[in-house]
Amino acid sequence: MTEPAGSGGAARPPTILVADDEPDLLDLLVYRLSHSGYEVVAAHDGQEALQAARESSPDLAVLDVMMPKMDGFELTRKLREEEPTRRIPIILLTARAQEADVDSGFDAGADDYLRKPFNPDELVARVRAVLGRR
Amino acid sequence: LRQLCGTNLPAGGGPAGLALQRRQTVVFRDLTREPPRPGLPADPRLRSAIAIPAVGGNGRVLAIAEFFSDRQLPEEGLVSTLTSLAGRIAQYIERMGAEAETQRMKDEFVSTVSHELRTPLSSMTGWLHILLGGEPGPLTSEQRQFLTTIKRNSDRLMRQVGDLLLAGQIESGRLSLELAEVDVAELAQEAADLVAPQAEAQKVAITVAAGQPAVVNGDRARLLQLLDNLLTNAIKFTPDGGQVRLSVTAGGGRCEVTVSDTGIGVPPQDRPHLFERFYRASSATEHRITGTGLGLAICRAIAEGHHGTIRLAEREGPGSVFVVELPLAAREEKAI
Repeated sequence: MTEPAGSGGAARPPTILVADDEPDLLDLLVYRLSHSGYEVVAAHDGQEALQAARESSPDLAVLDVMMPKMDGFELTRKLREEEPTRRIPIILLTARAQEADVDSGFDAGADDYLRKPFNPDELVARVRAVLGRR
Repeated sequence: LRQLCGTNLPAGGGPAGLALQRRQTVVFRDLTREPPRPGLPADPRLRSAIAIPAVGGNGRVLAIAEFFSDRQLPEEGLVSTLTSLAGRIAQYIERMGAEAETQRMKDEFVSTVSHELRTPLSSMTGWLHILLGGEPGPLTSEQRQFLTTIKRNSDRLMRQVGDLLLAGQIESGRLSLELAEVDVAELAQEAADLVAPQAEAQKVAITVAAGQPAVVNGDRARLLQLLDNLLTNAIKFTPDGGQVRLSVTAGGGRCEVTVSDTGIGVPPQDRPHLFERFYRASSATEHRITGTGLGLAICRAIAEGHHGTIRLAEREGPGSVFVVELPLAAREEKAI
């Protein structure tokens, strides 16, 4: 069930940045992704996530939309503006079921989105798909 | 004649500006005697002007109607009629504003509540999913059984929160549908698969009769919810060993979905109110069957949102039959 992600066994596992202001949900994201063979960097709000993205240059970012200090849309735009973080694929987690929110996510530069509440296995599937696309 | 909706007018100057400043009707009977200034038209053919403000209860000017004419403006009678009309317009604008404000607060409340309820629920269902997946360690059959019960109830709570949100959207007329071609026959099978565990637990047999494709122009997720609500109800109201049958037929430009069961049925006195929000059938309370009374109201809103209908069919013998009719996509225009 938890094959190491990526191709070769010896290769460095991809690093994934996850950001969510809900500690229990953040733990859930970290658990699910690290048990699926990824290196995981966790951030508790948008500001922290931006910092982490600059420092750890992750292979992908999973960002909650509704976060204090900086929401997921703004964070996505910021990441897209700066050279080192410009090409990080982004999956947004949206609690709001409004299509308009999804559109503004794509407008900001997100690669995919997942509606909350999500099935943890579906998240892993999306992560694989987005990483495979690059 | 020229009419203005004054929002950012400079106070003073022309008729509208003066009306904004004085908060009362301003009349220029002879423009040719006014010195030229900003706000007054330079056109020499214009003879007169009138500006009528709609003043709200708090003295704020909500709107101004400004008219210029190449003739002498009419007598005082009409001016006072227009002024009192403006007063009624002001009241109307204020009422609309208050309603919009109430609606906005309601929307905000619903979305806050939904976020506050969904976030902890997401965490609960997510962790339960992981526990039941067996990754953290093997579970005894009893542990699995108890966790499954918790998961089932969390899922139920999640659905109820979703239903409440949807009911709010329906009430304020903002049920948004994402339309695409949807095969209702295929959807029926999916809906039956979704409720299979529930049916099994209650020892109710489900059969699906959906041979021919029945493509409608609809919102897949909402239509699935409609079918799911009907099937869940049918299972809930059907005792052990009963049967639920779901059939989909297409013809005459319409798709007909029928959900029938061999359950306790709907008492005659409940029939007229069945699709009302928060209405619960007397049989439901009698048999201690849980529910919020939103399911069928949501079904009706979804069916009607698709230009379709839903009804409870008359039936001889036990059980009940719900019939949903939706226009087919390809022959939509002929269906009407």
